[in-house]
Amino acid sequence: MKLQNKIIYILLTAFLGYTLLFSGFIYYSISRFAFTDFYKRLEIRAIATAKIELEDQKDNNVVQQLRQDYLEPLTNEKHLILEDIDPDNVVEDVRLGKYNPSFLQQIIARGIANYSYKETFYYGTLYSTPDQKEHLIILSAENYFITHHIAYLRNLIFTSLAIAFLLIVLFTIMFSRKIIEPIQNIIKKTRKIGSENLHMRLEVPESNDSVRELAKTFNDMLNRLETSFETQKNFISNASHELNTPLTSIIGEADVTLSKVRKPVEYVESLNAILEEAEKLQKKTQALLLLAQTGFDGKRQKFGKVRMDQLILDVKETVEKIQTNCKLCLDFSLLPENPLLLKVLGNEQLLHLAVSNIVLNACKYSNGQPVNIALAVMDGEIIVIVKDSGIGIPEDEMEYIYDPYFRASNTKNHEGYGIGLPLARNIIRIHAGELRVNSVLNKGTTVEIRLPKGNFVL
Amino acid sequence: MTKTILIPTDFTVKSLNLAKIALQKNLSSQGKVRLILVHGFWMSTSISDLLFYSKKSLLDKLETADFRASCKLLLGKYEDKIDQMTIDLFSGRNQSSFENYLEAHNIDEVYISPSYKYKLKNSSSFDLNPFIAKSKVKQVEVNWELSANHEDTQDELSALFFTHGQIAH
Repeated sequence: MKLQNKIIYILLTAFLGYTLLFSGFIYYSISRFAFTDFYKRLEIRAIATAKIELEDQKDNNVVQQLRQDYLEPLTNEKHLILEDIDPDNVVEDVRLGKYNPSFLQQIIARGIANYSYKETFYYGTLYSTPDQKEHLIILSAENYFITHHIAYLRNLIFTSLAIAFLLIVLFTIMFSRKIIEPIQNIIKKTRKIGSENLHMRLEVPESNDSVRELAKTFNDMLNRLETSFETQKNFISNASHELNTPLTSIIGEADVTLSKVRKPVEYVESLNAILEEAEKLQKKTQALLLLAQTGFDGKRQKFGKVRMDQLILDVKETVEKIQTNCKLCLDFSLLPENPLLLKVLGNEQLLHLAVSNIVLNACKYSNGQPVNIALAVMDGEIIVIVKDSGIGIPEDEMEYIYDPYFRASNTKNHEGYGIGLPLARNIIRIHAGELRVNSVLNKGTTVEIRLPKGNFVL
Repeated sequence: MTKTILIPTDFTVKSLNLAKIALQKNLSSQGKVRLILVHGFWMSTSISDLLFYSKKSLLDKLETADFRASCKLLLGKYEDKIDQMTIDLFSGRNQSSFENYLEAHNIDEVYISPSYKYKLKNSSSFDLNPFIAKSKVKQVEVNWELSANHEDTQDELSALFFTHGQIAH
């Protein structure tokens, strides 16, 4: 069954059940009230009649006057008075033949009884006059209210039920449409997203409800999908990009050393340099392998404690070795006193790779001007800010900066492959972080890395 | 003993540098610091505006996400030093009302920066510096330079960092 129909049926049964119960209750209590009220009216008339017929003339005039003035005659009102009866055998009286025997017996037993037959209501009572004589009075009349008003009420309830039914149907259809609509939208949008346009995202609605959660969850899933897609696609280019730097220095070092015969000390020195670079190379291959693996299977990542301040110092060291003309300024002025707040759950090599890529970019495009790195902690988030005063990124090219191999139009004079930033973003995404880039052309670029704090205890 | 410091702000991250410097200077002294970030804001003269006046919603409108984040950064860094940090609006129109405000809040020091030009984003906002200059309270002048030689057009989190000359002149 379609979800929309399901919602309609559930709402319909709930609302209709409620209205039926409600109107049934009203109908029942009104008719009950009409019965008791009518018997009371009969009772007053019975007593008044008895007073007029059986008691002294003196008071009678007053009562008769009262009855004529204030008690309107009921439809088909009839009364029967049996004077001075013997309670034991009055039931057999001929004049009482047309009444229900159990009604008569009840009058004798309790002194008061009533019953109704078709539309006529009967009320009977024993009345004793001051001279100790018992009299039986039976009053009967038709209940106009029951026959007419209750019928009107019944019709009214039925018509209002019919109207309510229509309204409820209309309302539930509209309601279910309104509820279903955002989900339908999500379905439509999700269908459009394929492997060729994985960068598309669903619109997250403003309202804070489950649909928003759903859209967010879809977007998160798309993020992960895109990341793993890209890491697979770009693995080779990433690898060659990353491995090139140490390889160049190894080749250069070896070339220079081999150009002429040298002293043993110099050989040791250059071999040491080569070893260091080779170790770096190994670390990078490991990191890239890890990155590739994360694309296939999230379980194989080895996550541990990473202290961000230490990481940034390491990055500074690495970057200064690669880009010797780069001035790096660290600003740790807003570091918290609690070192636990600086720890991120993550993979150190990957994070190192990401941050060093960003800092290297900043150095590369700032033409020797100082690059600032700041670290701060806010509300469970660790923020790394890398700010340069370099060439910036043209505004209309901002949306492409994460595309692999994309290079902004003003980077012609700089060597590069257009891989560093997408790689960094993939790594940050793996760590459930966020990367923000702000840039003004020819003035500089600010990159903000936000990483969630790991839940470590001392 | 708690020291109360008044800092004029225009709800930019840059202006929070005053607060940062104030906290750094008081770090070695004993006792905690109570910070009051105050913004000059003319009250509306319309009755209906005054009827529905709410300082909270007004502040919500004026504060930016980065400003809030920077406040949290400062709170995180100096959480042991800060006794209280409040953001307030001053709506007085003359010098005596400003003096009153200082007295009511027990202000010990006011930090000002002669080189920083306040960016008043709202038409009802006004610069507090003339009031501060004429007041009798202790004034601390500080200057900071952005390391970048250009004037930033954007107001972002990074404005709180990379400032040199953090010691007052």
